[in-house]
Amino acid sequence: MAGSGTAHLRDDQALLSVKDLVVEYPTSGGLVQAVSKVSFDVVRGETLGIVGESGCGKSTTGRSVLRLDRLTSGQITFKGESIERASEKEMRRLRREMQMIFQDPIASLNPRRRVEDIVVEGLAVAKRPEAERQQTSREVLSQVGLSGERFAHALPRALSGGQAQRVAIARALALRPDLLICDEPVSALDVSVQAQVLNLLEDLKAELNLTVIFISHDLGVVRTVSDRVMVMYLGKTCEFGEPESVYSQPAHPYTRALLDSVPQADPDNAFGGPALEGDVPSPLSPPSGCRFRTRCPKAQDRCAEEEPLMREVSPGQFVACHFPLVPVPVSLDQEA
Amino acid sequence: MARAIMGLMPPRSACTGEVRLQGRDLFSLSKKEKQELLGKQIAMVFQDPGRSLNPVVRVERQISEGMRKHLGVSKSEAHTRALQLLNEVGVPDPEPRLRNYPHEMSGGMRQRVMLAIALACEPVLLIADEPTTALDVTIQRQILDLLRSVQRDRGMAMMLISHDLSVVAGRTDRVSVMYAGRLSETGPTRGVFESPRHRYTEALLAATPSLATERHQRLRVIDGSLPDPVSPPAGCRFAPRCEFSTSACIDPGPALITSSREHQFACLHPVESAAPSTVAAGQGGH
Repeated sequence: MAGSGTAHLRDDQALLSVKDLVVEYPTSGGLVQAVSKVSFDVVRGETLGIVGESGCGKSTTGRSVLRLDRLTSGQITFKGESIERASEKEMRRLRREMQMIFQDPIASLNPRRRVEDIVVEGLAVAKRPEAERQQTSREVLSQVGLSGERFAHALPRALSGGQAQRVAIARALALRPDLLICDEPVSALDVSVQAQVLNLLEDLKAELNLTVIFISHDLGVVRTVSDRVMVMYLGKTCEFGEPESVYSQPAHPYTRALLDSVPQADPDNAFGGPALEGDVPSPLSPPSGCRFRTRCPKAQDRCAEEEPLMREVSPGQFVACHFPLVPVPVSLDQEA
Repeated sequence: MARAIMGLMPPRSACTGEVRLQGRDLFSLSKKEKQELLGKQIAMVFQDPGRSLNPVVRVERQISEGMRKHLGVSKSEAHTRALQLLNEVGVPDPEPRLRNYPHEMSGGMRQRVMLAIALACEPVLLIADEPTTALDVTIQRQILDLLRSVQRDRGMAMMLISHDLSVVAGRTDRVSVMYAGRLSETGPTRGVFESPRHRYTEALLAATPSLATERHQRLRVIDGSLPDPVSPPAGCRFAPRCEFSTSACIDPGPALITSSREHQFACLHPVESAAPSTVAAGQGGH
């Protein structure tokens, strides 16, 4: 796995389309390719879940869509407009339509500003009149279930983690975005609060017809919220498809291993399968060919020489693996 | 609670009650007796291996420090034993690893080293406090497997502390559920997961998305948030968030009730025994 390719793209209907995205960071040890030729697209109204372990490039991918990091190469198209070629001024306009929610809810809010001002800061930047800002502020706060004086005048330090994440969601909604990028939005929250925020996101998505990119390391959470799932490993795409097929019939050995490693709340059947050996290799010198081959139980010589490309294994399910776990239909095997 | 057992609470905190290890009350021991016991007979593995190892001391000295002090072994014997320990906890190529500093290792490797340090003095009780919370899921799996096998091979007792119900499910013989400083439910792991009786345990299981949760399925929500630890609610501390609570939950409040097979819970309106819905909520998907 850990391959490239664009076979899984659905160009014509996509709200956002990312092709061969590469993001590099200079580090003291050399150049790290955090995202290496990743492609995906999101159709209007759907939720794309991006799942993977630390360092797989899922957050970098999300940040790249807003161009929060410098892109090395690749094309990102949002509503027909090119993100990688947009000027800074155009980006400021485009970012109003693409909002982001971050992992640490408290740290992502300005500690010295009141909640009612935080949520409409984007409108202030857009130079909207005061009256509109106040009105929007009240609206979005009630949409996330934080209505009333008590929250409007509060400072972030007075909020619990769940409340702070609601404020961050309200801030994103204030600009009426089309696309919402959620980077680990519930990872810092307790289970009971996590369920509240997930339900809220689902409600808002339906109510406001949002398109969502949901980035998480938690496979259970991703399954619950997503219409499409993309599995990443060390800057590469492994698998893409609907959650039902990816979770019940994973085609990539890494997806299988991830699923088997998730502990189940079932004393007799704590894990679905054997553990994966070894550690994630250093991104400074990733393995040749398929980046997963050093830990893959199915790896063969070919995996070291040739990088696998995404190909369809069943309708709507794509995998970047030379030896997928499900049979490849003959008619679809030509791209391999 | 684990920190209280280990005597790691700040001096101004008040601990009352009794902690008995093999018949000896830990709170009434002298400082010297405690030093003899803690770290040697009870060892602890912490959540963040990056911050609980000494960053400027090589792995070898961190592993042998306890052995040299508690067991009085020689330097060369400590070296041999450190190698054996690293082997036991599954560190590949242990010899050069001994010369590493913690920052030269991955999170999973550091947690293995932490475990080697904890095992160095052959403890009778190992306390693992959120040992895998900082780790990725495939590495978490490796560490959980390792903890279980080490615990079984050595016939050692283990306390596994986690916020993640499913981490506990497959790795323990008995489980205790705590909420806001109180014990809600305790019993054999199988009994508690298959048939939770306390309303908090049930709600917690239902609020956790699993691999089997359907697409866009609404999760069961526990309203509100944790109570303020400074002024916890009277009676059952979960009552303000519990949909089944009545005035009796606040006054007099529940006492620990024993049901079957060592299964105890503190709830006045418990879930019916072996309710099928709760079993379904906790089951694995693939």
